[in-house]
Amino acid sequence: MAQDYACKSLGLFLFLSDNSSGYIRLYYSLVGPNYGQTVFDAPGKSIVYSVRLISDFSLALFVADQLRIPDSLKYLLRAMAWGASATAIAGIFYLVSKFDIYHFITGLGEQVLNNDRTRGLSIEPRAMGLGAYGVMVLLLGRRSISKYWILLLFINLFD
Amino acid sequence: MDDNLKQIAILFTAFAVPILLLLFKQQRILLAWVGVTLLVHIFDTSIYTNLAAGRLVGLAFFCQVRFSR
Repeated sequence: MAQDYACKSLGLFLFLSDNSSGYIRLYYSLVGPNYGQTVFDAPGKSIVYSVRLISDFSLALFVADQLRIPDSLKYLLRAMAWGASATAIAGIFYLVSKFDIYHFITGLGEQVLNNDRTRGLSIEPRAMGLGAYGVMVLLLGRRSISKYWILLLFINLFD
Repeated sequence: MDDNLKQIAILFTAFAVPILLLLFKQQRILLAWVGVTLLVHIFDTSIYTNLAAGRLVGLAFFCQVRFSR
């Protein structure tokens, strides 16, 4: 507590992340074993959060850079529509056959197999809600997304 | 196949796809990869790293920009 107070009063925060304990800090310690020393540390999950933040920001830059090119938006939306449809088809397949494709491919998530909720190609059933993006994209783009847009829309809605 | 081997194969794929597409300057296909992996979570890595496939694209892009200047 005292060390945190010293850190906040004297420290220079180099990088703030999305968790209260997830920051990299450089400070002059007034208490504890590091008394009188300049400390550079990364408590908690700072490295993990920092890498996530950098990768998210870089991904946003990449997508923004690509979307400056004409027709790239349509290309991205098509990929999203087909991705959502693939997840929806896998979900419907599970309802019919009780065969979990996600578990077969990745070997993960056995704990959700026995609750009778389909999860498609996602790690958990809640992520099937992302199919709403597929519905949105198909309703906005319609024939420019795919000539089978009505079929894909029906699959995503059924899911 | 052993579950760990599956995860290692997925991790390798999730790293290899964006790196190769960036190396061969296929940014449009990489954009499609981002769009698909946003909704298909098979390539989200859970061994050694816990990063989604899209985040690995971001990391690869960051490294490419950083080291190509």
